Amino acid sequence: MENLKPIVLIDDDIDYIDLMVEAYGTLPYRNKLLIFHDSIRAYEHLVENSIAPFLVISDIIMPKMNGFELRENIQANPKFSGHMVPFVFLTGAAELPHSSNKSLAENGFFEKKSDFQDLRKTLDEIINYHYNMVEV
Amino acid sequence: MNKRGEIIIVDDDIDDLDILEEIYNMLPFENKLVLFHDGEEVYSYLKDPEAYPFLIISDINMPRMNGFELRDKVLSDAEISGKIIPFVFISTSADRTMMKKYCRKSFHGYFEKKSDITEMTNMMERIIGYWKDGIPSD
Repeated sequence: MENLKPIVLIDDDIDYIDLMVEAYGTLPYRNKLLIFHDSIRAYEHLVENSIAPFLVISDIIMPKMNGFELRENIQANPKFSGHMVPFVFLTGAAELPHSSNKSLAENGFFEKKSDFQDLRKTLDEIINYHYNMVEV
Repeated sequence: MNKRGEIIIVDDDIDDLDILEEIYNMLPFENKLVLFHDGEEVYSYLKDPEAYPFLIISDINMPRMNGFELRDKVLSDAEISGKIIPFVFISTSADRTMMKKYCRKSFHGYFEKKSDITEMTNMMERIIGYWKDGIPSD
């Protein structure tokens, strides 16, 4: 069954979000994209509208609320209990990934590719992996 | 994360384990494959401080210690959980109620076993390839 819950993209770098949206547009998935430049707005939007996304693809280092904090807040919110909200982090080479809280799920860290075709392949692999998971 | 470490597959069904081994041997990965029949065996193996596998692929329904219990044991052991070993469930019967209860916990994927060998091969390649392509976290 095709999972058409939205995919959330979060990055404070507006140019990079634009590049991701463009790359996503060339892929065969039909999930709606929810795009945020600000992680607090992303959190508020998902909570207010009770949206449990199919997948969150997030930058790590962002002002106000970083990617790890966003994940913790979402996974701790009772609105999302009974939903699996997978988080995948994209990170620049200078930011070494580390897990802030080992008992929370994160579904991988991937390098932020600046090359369009590389980015496209990375997004395809991330989405494809989650598509093939059993929907809970 | 240790990308060069072993890949662990745990399943109480010996036929499934045989098939998974055959499938793995057709794939282009160089990691050593280590097979187990239940969660308790895997847990004892992981208790060895030298053990640092790349990936654990676990069945859910198993005698003695099932897949969820194994995952809980791993998470409650600071030494083992500190190593960040991706933990992926594969199961024949996709029990959504059971997964719903478990889905707030930390694990890295839940896939349905395929009866078709080609489909199963593609799935295994995708799972292993996904974790190979990521940035190792620690």
